[in-house]
Amino acid sequence: MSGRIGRRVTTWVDDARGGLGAIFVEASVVVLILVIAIILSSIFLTVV
Amino acid sequence: MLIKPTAEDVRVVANSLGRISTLVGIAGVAPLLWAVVGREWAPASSFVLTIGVFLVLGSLGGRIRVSQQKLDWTRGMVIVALAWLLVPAFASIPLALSGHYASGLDAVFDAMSGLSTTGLALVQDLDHLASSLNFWRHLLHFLGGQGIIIAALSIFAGGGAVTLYLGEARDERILPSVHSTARFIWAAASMHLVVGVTALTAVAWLVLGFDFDRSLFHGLMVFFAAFDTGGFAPQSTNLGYYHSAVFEFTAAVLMVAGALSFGVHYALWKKRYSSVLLNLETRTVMTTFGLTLTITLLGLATTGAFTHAFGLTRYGFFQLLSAHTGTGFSTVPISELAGWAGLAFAGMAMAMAFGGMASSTAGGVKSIRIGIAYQTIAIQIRQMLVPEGALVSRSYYQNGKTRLTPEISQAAMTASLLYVVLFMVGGGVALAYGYGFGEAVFESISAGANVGLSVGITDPTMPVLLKLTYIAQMWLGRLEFVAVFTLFGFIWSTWRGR
Repeated sequence: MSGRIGRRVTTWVDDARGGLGAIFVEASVVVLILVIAIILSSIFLTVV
Repeated sequence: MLIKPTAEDVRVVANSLGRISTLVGIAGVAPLLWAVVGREWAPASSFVLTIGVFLVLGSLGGRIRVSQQKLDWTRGMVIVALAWLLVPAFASIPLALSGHYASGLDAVFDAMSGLSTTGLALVQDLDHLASSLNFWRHLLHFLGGQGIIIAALSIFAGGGAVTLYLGEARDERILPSVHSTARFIWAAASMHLVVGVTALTAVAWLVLGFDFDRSLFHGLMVFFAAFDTGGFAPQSTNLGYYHSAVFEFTAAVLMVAGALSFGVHYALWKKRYSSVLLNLETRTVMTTFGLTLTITLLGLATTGAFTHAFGLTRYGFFQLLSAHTGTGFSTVPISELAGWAGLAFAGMAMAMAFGGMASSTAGGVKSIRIGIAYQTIAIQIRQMLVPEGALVSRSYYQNGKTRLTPEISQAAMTASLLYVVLFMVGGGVALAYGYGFGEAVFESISAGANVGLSVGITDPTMPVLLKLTYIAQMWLGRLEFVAVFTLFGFIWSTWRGR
C-alpha cells in the first residue's frame, strides 16, 4: 500500500514540476515578445 | 435518401442532455455558497431556482430509458449543439433576475458570451453587480472553456465519448483515450488555476494595495477570464481598472497559456521543446502574431499619441495579444479603441480573425487552418513551376510528421471559408442597421471569433435581430460549425426523412 501511495505522490510531484516548467516557459515567451515589441516600437517612433 | 432519426436517437439525445444538465446544476452550487457566505440573499434564491431547473431537466432526462448509451457521430454532434443552447438559456436565469439586464434576451446574450468564452457584455451597472453573480458570469467562462462535455465525459460517458469531444471542436487526442486526454486537460487547468490565481492575487494585494479578500476575488475572476480566453472582468472598465503593467503582464501569460492547444501544453509539460518548435501551429501563430503586432504598432506609432516606446508597447501589445488569443480584455476605453484607424485597426481585425491554436479555448479561424491553407497555396504554386506530370507533396509537423493530403487541405479551406462567411453575415446585419463599415466588421469578427473586444455596437440598445445574430455567431464560432450543421441536418431529416 505504501509503495502504491509513494508512486502516486512521485507522479504528482513530477506532474507539478512539469506544469510549473510549462508556465515558466509561457512567461518567458511573453517576456521575449515584449522585448521584441519594445524594440519595434522604438524603431517606429524614431522613423515615423 | 434522408434517413429519419429513430425514437431511440431522440431518447439518447434527451438522456445525455439530462446528464449534462445535472452537471451544470451541480456547478451552480458554487455561486450559491458564495452568495450565502456573502449574505447576498436575492442572488442566492435565484441560484436555488437555477439549480432546481437544471436538476429537474437532469431528472427528466435520466428517466428516459435507452437501450444502449452508444453515441454515434450524429447523436454526439446533436447533443453538443443542443447543450450549447440549453445551458446558456437556463444559466441566464440568475442574470435575468438580477435587475442588471434590460431584458431576458440580454441575459441570454451574456450567458452565451460567457459560455462561449467570447466576453461581449450587455450587463448594466456592472460595478454594482453582486459578487456571486459576477462569480457566476466568470464561472461560465470556465465551464465553457474547459468544456461542459469534457467534464461530462470524465464523469458519465460510456461508449462513443470521442464524438462529444470532437463536437466541441477539440480534434486532438493527446493521450491514447479521450478519458485520459480529458484528465490531462483538467490537470493542466488545475495547475494554471493554482499558479494563476496565486500570482494575480499577490499582485493585487502587494502591488495594487487591495484588501486580501478583494485581491482573491479579482484574482479568481481575472484568472477564469484570462485562461479561458473569455474577456469578462469584474469592473466595467475591464483590465484598465487596475492601471498596472505587472497585473497586465500576469494576465498576458495566462492568456497565452489559454490560447495554446493542449497538445502543446502536454509537450511543454514533458519538456519536448523541439516538438513545440517544429509544430506547424506554433510556427503559424508566431508568424501571424509577429505580422499583426508589427502592423498594429506601426499604425499606433503614426497616430502621434505615443511618445515613449514603453507606452506604445504596453497598450499595443496588450490589446493585440487580447485580440489574437481571443480573450477580449482591454485596457483602453471602448471609445478609444473605436478611434483606432488604418493599420492599427487592420492589425487588430486580422489578429481576431486568425485566432489561437486548435483544441484551445481561443476562437477564430485557428492557426492550424491558416498554416494548412498556406501550405496548400504553396503546393499549388510549386505544382505550376515543376515539369508536367511531376507530383509535389508536402508534410507538416503536428504531434508528429503528417503528410498534407487533399482531404486535410479541403477541410481546412472549407472551415476557413465558413468563418469568412460568418464574419460577413454578422457585418452585413450591422451594416443594414446603419452602423459604419469598419465597426460593423470589427464587432462581427469579435463575436464570430469569440473574442469580445467591442468598438461600441454591443450595447443594450442595439437591435434585437443584431443581438440574435451575435448570439448565433458566438454559438457557431465556438462549435466550429460541424455540430450545428449536424443539428440542422438532424432536424431536416426528422421532417423530410423516411
